[in-house]
Amino acid sequence: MVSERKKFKLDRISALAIVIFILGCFLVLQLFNIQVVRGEVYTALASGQHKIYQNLNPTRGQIFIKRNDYNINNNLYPIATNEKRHEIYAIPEKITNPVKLSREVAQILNLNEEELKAKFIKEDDPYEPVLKYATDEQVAQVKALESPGLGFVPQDFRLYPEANIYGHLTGFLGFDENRRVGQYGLEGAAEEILAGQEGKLSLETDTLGNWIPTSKKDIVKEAIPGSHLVLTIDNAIQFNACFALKEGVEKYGADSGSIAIMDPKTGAILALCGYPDFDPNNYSKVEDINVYKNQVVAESYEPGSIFKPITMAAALDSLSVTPETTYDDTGEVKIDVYTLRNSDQKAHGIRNMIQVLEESLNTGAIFAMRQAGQEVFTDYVKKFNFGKPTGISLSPESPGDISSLDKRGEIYAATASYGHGITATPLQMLTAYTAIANGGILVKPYIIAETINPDGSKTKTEPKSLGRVLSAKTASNLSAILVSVIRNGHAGKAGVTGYYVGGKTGTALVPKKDARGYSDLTIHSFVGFAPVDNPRFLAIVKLDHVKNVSYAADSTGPIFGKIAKFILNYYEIPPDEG
Amino acid sequence: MSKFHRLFRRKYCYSSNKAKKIKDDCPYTRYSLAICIIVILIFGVYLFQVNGITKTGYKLRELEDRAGELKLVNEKLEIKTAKLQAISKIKKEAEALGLVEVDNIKYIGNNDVAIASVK
Repeated sequence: MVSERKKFKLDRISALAIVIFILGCFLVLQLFNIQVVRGEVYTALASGQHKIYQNLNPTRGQIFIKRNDYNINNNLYPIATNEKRHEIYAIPEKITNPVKLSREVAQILNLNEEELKAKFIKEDDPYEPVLKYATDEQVAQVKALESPGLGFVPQDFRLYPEANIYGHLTGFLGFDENRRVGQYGLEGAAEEILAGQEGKLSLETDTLGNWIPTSKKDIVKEAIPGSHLVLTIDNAIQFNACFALKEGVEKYGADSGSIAIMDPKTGAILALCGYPDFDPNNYSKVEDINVYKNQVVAESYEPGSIFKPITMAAALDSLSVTPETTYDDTGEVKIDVYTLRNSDQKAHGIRNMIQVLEESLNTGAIFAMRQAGQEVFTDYVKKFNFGKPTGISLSPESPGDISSLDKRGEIYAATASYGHGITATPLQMLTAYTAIANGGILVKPYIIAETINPDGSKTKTEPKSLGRVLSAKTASNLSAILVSVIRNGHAGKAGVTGYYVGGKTGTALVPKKDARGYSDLTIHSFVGFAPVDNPRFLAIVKLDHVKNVSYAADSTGPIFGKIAKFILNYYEIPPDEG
Repeated sequence: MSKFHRLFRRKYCYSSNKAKKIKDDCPYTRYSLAICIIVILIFGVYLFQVNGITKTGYKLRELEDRAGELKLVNEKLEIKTAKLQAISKIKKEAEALGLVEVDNIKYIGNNDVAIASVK
């Protein structure tokens, strides 16, 4: 009997021991799971909810220009950067005196007191936005009120320190539904590069939407910040060009204007301006959203007489004419039922090809086109890259329209020869002129000099040639003719004393919108480069719907002359003469 | 009967009167006591180590927070510098100081390269 009772006791102890052993094993396994397997998750959680927010949302890349006078960050001056600001919000259920608080906050933040009061008096409301992107000074002043009913959340504010000057280049960071996306300019075109990649953290939530820390489905992936862009823009040339454009638009009574300046040997854009401009820091405060469009790349127009050198290049390069080839200018050319005339409606008698450009004769351009032949002329226009986007990193970009050249009928090629019936953007015109300024070789325009990747590595943009369009001899002859256009022709005001500057004016009629034919409005353009024997810059100036003067020689010519003088002095280029 | 039971069996190891007999008759008691002491010691060392690591972890976190604060201050200063060095601002200040644009630059000398030889 006794031995049976003892035996029974031993079995119970054994059972208890086994249970305790099993529980102990389970405890060890759970500790291993929490500390080792999911340790990173709990580390992230322990860092605070703010740090989790930072890990998920990437920092947007900055946009820089090189400035030798800016001694920070390897001379990289930010024209688009991120500033840490705060959103101020109210917790109405915690506000004890909404009337007093709304008065104090409205005074500090310069807001409407009644609107704030309407938000603060909602008793069961846990959140009401007060002000987004508040500065540090504003936050400090509001914090000094020491109200438990006010809260602060960090926010990244996209800052553009130079404001209007770079508005068309940078674009701005806008909204697409609830997401922030770049729009227009580089912010739009390089959105994927600048935005980076979001990190991911997913946990199971309870019925109230709160995260359950012990849940099993969780993945943590760190956000990858955006890459930075370094532009080819020269800050001094950009500022000078934009200032001259603004002055010119106001002086000559234009509706708008644009300027682009390029290094003709590499295609690097040195300056790019549009007027009227806008402040990307306050992009919503514009009267007309069309101001966001960068006219240099987004708007194509009938270029007019600045297209004549392209026609002459085709005729010279195909050996159809020489600079001394003559024709009899009777003032008009009849094609089918159409009569095409010179802009001054006059006949000028015997004229050579140099005089065709000096005096901007439409009949001379038609003659040169006819000598080359319609097909050859069309081929050259396409070789100059018209009708296609340049591929520059700015959005949106218009490809222009040269479809009329594919139609039968000489009338289309005839009008195209002096820049009507076809359209091109200012950047396409500038790109075409690189072949003349660069010894016959067309170059691709680009504006991003370098991309700085998140890991610190750099990707440099190499200049790209689009092939030889003209022989070196044709380019040289044409450059000399363009110098003569300024010295002996209409474009005298575009010249700079002591320098060989080549260029061409264009006073183009604007087509009617709802009918055939042309209106009384004009678009004035000038394209030029200097010094002609070793061009350091190539520029186009365009003014839309000019009212105070009749011809481009009196509007865009002087603007170009002013900019050219500045650039020649800025680059310390001594005069070609004397 | 398992070894486990033999270690804790009262009949052998806890006879009330004779300590020596207990010692001689209970070698398992000594071993089990030794194991317990070792386990407690290991646990103690582990606690000490974990405590030390936790302390260092807190210090690291403080330093990380401080580094983060300094980085933020640095970023704010860079932005302040960028705003102050905006060219539109510099132009206004230059005008206020009475500075004028450069005009009529005269270049002294020429671009000829002088080559001298020594005989």
